[in-house]
Amino acid sequence: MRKKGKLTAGIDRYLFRHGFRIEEVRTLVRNQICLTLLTFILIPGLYLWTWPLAVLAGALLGTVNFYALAKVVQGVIFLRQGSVQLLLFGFYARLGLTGIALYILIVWCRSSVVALLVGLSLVLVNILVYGAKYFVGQKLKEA
Amino acid sequence: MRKGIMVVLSTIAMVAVSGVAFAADADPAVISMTSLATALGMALAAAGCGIGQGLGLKAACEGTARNPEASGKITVTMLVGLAMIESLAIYALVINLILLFANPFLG
Repeated sequence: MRKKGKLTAGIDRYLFRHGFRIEEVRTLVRNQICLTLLTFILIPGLYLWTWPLAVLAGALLGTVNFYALAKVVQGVIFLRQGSVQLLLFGFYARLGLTGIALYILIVWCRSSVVALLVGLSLVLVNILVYGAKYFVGQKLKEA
Repeated sequence: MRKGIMVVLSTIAMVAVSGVAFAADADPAVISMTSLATALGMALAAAGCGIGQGLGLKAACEGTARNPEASGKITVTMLVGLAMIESLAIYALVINLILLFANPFLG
């Protein structure tokens, strides 16, 4: 088994404590958080341009959305405690907050839309990389 | 019926509010067409994403009910699918917000 780094192990433990019991889901969310943390290296670029902030905002927004979605999906499948109403309220509240955040970023802050979309697309990049890795693993198992 | 009323009301609200967002010197025809495009774009995106997510959730629930041991793998696949579909809806929302409030073609 591959040895995990300190940061990834810490994120894993945090996710496990917060109800992410399925390992694959935990891996996906952990990778997404790591990708978002990686975008923080763009911050020094803020002295020259404003788009790194938009990338960061998009990445944070995408990560929060993905985290909440993963939690809701697990709640729907393994609903053992709490009510469905609370789950649904959380889902719609998240969507509403995402809309408000995007409105503030685009209309008030006049963020670069391309940079914002790049940040939001990090979720897709994470999923595609995970899918490709899974596909390659399956192929190697079959061979 | 209730859903239909909700869609009509939200479309009317969007079209009504959009006038405030645009500058007064823009061509009214452009404003109305942009408002209509925004409402239609969001409605189509929401409908498509809703149908896709509903189908995915339905299949996942059926699969889990038939084979509860496979629920872990089904959950992962469903999460991946839902995230991809939802990101499409978010992209549509971004484009619609740009069209409505930060339209580059309206000066």
